[in-house]
Amino acid sequence: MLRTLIWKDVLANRFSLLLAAILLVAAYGVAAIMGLLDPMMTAQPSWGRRLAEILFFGSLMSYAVAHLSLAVLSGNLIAGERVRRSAEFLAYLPPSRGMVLRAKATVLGTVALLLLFIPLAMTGLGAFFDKASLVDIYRKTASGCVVIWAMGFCDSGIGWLASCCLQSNAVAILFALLSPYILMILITLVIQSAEPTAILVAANLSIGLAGFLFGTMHYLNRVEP
Amino acid sequence: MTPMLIEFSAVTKEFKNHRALDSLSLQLLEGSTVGLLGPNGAGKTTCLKMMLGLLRPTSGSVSIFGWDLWLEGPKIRQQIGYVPEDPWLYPWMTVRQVIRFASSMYERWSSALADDLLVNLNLPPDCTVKNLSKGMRMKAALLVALAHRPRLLILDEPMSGLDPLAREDLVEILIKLRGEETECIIISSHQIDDVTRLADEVVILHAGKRLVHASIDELLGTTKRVEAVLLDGRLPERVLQQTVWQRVDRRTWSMTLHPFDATMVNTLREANPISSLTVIDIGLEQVFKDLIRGATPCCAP
Repeated sequence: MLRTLIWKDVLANRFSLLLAAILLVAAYGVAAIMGLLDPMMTAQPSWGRRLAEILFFGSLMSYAVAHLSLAVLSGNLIAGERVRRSAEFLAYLPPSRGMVLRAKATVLGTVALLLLFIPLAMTGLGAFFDKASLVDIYRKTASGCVVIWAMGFCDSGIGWLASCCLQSNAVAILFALLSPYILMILITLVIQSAEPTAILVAANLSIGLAGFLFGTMHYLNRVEP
Repeated sequence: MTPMLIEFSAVTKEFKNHRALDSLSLQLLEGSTVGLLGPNGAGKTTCLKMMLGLLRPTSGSVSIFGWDLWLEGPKIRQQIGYVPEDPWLYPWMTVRQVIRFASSMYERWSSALADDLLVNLNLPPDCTVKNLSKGMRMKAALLVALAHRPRLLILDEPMSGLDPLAREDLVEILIKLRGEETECIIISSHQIDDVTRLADEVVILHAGKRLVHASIDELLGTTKRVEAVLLDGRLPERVLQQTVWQRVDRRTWSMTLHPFDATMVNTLREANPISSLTVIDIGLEQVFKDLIRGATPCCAP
C-alpha cells in the first residue's frame, strides 16, 4: 500500500521532479560554460584543477536552486491534490492519513537527499581529479553549503505546513520560496552580529522543523481532506 | 435479530450559515438496500460523507459495523465502496493504472471481478481519466467501488451522466450484488424509478431531518391519495391530522394521507361537504413529492 502511494506521489509530482532534475543538470551546464569562458577558471594550472573547480561551482549552484525545487515539491505535495480534487478520492480509500503522509514525506525526503548528495558526490569527483585540492574544496563546500541546506530545510518545512493547511498549491509554493529570505532579512535586521551564519542556520532548521511538525499535526486532525 | 450496520445517533452537522443535519437518528440493518431520497439541500450527501468519515458531526455519533468511524476509519473503509456524485480520480492515470492503484489499497480486491467489470462497463483501459466523459468517469469509480467486494456500498447519484444502456447495466449489476457479498447498499438518487427497482426501503430526508424511514411496500401501502368532489360552492371543513399535503382546485379536493387507514374515508365523508370520494394508489415519486411539499412550510396543509 505504501509503495503504491509513493508511486502515485512520484507520478503526480513528476513535473516538479523533472524541474529539479533539469535545474540540477543546468547548474553543472552553467558551471561548465563558466569553466570555458571565465578568466579565473581558465587560469587554473591544470585541467584536473579546472574540472574540480567546475564541479565545485556546479554543486554550489545546484544547492542554490535545490531549495527552489524543494519549495515547489513540498508546496504541491498535499495542496496539489486538493486543487485537483483527488484528495477526496484518496480520503475515502482505506489508507490512513498517517500512511498518506508517510508516502509524501518519503518522496520529499528522498528528493532532498538526492539534491544534497548528488552535488556532494560531484564535488568529490572533482577532488578525485585534483587530489591536492580535496581539503580546500571541502572546506569551501562546508562553509558555503550549510546555510543553503538549512534554507532548503526551512522552505521544505514551510512548504509542507502551507500545503497541509491551504487550498492553493500556488500560495503554498510561494510561502515556501519566500520563507528563508524573509527569515534572513528579519535576522539581519534584529540580530546585529558579525557572524550571523550560525544563527541563520539554527533559525532555518528550527522553522523548518516546526513547519513539518505543525503541518503534520494539522493534516492528521483536519476533518476535510 | 438482524445486526445493525449503520447507526446515526442524534447527529447534527452545522456549516457556517446553515444546519445540514438536524438531530438525525437512523439505523440501517444488514441485508437492506436503502434508497436515500430528499430534495436538493436535504442533507443526503452530508449524511453519506459522514458514513465515510469525510465529515465529522457537530454533535452526535456515527458507527459503522459497530465500529467508531474516527477510531477505526481505515478498517471501516476497507469494507466500504463509495461512488460520489462527481468522481475525481487522478486525471493523469489511465484506467488500468487506476485499477492497479486501487487494487493495492483493498485486501479483498478481486482481479477477476475487476476484469469482468472493465468489460461489462465498456471502459477503455488505456485512456487517461482526464479524457473520459463524465459518464465514463462514473463507471471507472464504480469499478473501483465494486471490485473489492464491499460489505457496504454507497452510491451518490450513480445514474448521473450514464446513458440509458449503461444505467440498465448498472441496475443489473446492483441487483446481482444484493444477493452476494454486499450486506447493505445505500443509493442516493433523484431517479426514483431506479430506487424503486433496487431498494427495499427508503429514507426521506428534508431540511436535515428524517421525514420517513420505511420499507417501500409499507410506505406505499400506508400513503394514499384521496380525491374528493366538494358540493357546489362549499369548502373543506375538517382536515384530517394525517394529511401531509392537500390542494383545492375548484370543486376537487385532493389530499395525500399518511398513514392511511380505511376508516378515514367515512370520517371525511361525515365531516365534509363531499359528493364523492376516491382513494388512489400512488407511486413512490408522488409519495415523495407530497411528503416534501407537506413538510415545506409554504405548502403545508
